[in-house]
Amino acid sequence: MRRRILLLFLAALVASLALSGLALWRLTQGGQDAVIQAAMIAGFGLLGLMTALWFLFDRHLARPLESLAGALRTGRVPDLEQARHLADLGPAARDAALARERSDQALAQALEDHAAETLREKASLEAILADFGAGAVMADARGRVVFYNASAARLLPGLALDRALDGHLTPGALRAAQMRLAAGAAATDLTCLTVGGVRLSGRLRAIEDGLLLILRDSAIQRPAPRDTLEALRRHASTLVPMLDALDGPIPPALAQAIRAEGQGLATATRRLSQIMASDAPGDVAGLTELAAGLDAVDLPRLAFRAQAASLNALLLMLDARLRALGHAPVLSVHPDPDDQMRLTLDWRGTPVPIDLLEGWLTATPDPGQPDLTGAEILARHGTGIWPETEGGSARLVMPLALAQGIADGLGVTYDFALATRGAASSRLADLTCVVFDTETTGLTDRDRIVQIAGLRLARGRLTGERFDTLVNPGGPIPPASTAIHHITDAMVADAPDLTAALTAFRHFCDDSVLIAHNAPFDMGFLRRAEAQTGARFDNRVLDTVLLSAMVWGQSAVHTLDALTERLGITIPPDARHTAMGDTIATAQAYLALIPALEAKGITRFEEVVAKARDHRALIGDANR
Amino acid sequence: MADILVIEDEDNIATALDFLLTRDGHRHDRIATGRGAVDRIRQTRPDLVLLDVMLPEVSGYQIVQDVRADPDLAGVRVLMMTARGSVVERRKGLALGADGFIAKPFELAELRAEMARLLS
Repeated sequence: MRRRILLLFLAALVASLALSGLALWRLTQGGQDAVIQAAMIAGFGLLGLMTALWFLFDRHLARPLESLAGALRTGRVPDLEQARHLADLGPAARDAALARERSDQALAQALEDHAAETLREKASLEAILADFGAGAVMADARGRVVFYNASAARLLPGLALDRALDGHLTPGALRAAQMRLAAGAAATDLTCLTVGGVRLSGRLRAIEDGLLLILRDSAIQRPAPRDTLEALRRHASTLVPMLDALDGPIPPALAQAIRAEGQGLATATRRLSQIMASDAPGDVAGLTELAAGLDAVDLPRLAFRAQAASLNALLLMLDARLRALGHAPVLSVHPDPDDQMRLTLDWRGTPVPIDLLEGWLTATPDPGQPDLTGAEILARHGTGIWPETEGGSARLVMPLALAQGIADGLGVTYDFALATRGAASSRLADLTCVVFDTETTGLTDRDRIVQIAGLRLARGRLTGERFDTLVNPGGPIPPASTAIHHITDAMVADAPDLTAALTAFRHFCDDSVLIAHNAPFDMGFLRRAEAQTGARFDNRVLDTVLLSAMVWGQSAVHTLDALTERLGITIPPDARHTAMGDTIATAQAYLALIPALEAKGITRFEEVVAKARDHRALIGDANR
Repeated sequence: MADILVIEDEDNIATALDFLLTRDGHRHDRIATGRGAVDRIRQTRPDLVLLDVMLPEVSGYQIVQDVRADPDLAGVRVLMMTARGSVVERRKGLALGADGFIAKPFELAELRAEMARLLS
């Protein structure tokens, strides 16, 4: 095009020179009209020349450009014939328009797919919520009902959209549960009465701009026969020593029979006592729920076998009584033997007389369960409470059993689109995998695992299923290792041992490809423990160090930090060197590596294994 | 032989304990309520107190807490007896200052062994 314009201007120059030459020639001829005729030749000639130039520019440049701009604005594919004098601009504009058309079509298709997926998920969730038996009520931030199912309507007569939820329940119970949520719990147990006096139990969860309440009929709980047991024990305790002391007048055979019966009575009452003492609630409550509304220090993330509503209400009542005496109690937790922790309310000052404390426990602190005394709440948790003193400080002490796991999990796992994404295969993007990481007492073969975390991937997506546990290594953790992963001896004191942890992890990663960064290290710990734990790990293995070497070559740095930085993945500083933090980073790196490997023609697991042979100098293959 | 104070409101079990302690040759006395028990301990300074938990007016737990708050009574051993035999009740009794804790119904050999331990 530039050449054409050059030629055009050269032609205009030649024409101008020709006109000038003609005009000059006419002048040299002389005569009366020479000047006038020379001027006319130059003037009209230039006018004609300019007109011709304007015509050419207008027809071949201005009009096609206008048309092209219009086409680009409207998304129409431009007419190439019109733009034939615009060199590559016409085809470029046509390609851009076609790309835009394809992109629009892809976007429309993606939106359509997403809308269809959303509709499927909505239908599935509606089916689940309609028939899962419990009442489900959702309320907005103002406490107005925005959703409920048929079971909820049955449990809470009069329930209707846009009505206040707390109008259907004992008001104190819902408020107390909301306070536990405000204290940081993701969800909390709730036991309450309806305005009609029906007992319900359930779980309240904070959701985006509102609350979700799941409710069930609470089975009528027969009070434990503690009074009867007490009477049985008193009689047995009187009878047994008396029988023990018998001699002389009673025939020996009869005395022996009476003694055997008495001992039988004693054994039966002891067994009954043990059964009732272990009758702790099946509910799990997070420490944040129990501590809601109390002054507290350094609360670790713990879960207890406890009913949040009643125990939190009891602690709040004790806190209020202590404050009425002028004390300022602070809640804290301390390790205790036998899978328990001690909850303590500490204050500076004089101790509380035990009989005063026992008197407080005759009150009924939980508005949701107005028939339950503090003593009965403690008995149901298989625990008690007492005062202690130390120096100028006093405290109330309550042991409480720990629960396995954390209470704040979402508890729902789904991927309805899984069925539409085809079957699992050995394609890297289709594998069912568990990405995992371990933290250990050190780097040698003699060292032990102290933490293990895993995330499941299915068909190229994180499923949301996670495994995360501390492991008691059965020995001290060297300070140098604690400095790296910040796991202390105290933290693992109550954690599952290696057999329990690896058996659970074995279940989690069954039938999955295991993925780790520097897999031979982590797999070494799992496989060396096989003889001890009985949990075998014959899984296929992928190593993100090897995958990184396949993409960037062996000479590049393949540490997790270097790999994630290359892929633009950020690991929060406090998550680095935690098993779950490194697992998340490794999973993200693996997902980002899949397209890069595919671009290099490595699409299947078998191809990775074959290619791994080229990289043996860098790192061993952890596959058996 | 030791001086033993029995604080027990149940007459039948007090009778049984009286029989056993007499047979084993101990000097012993009994009161049937928690009220005034600490004053009685101050006056008589027994070697051992056999203390029931569930007492009228003042509980056995309160008595042991008061005894341990008085430094003059540091030499008095307290063996608590309770029908509530759970682990947490035992911990509660020991935390309040009891020297021993025995769950009812106890067997004679068990009581004798615990008394011997505290009196040795």
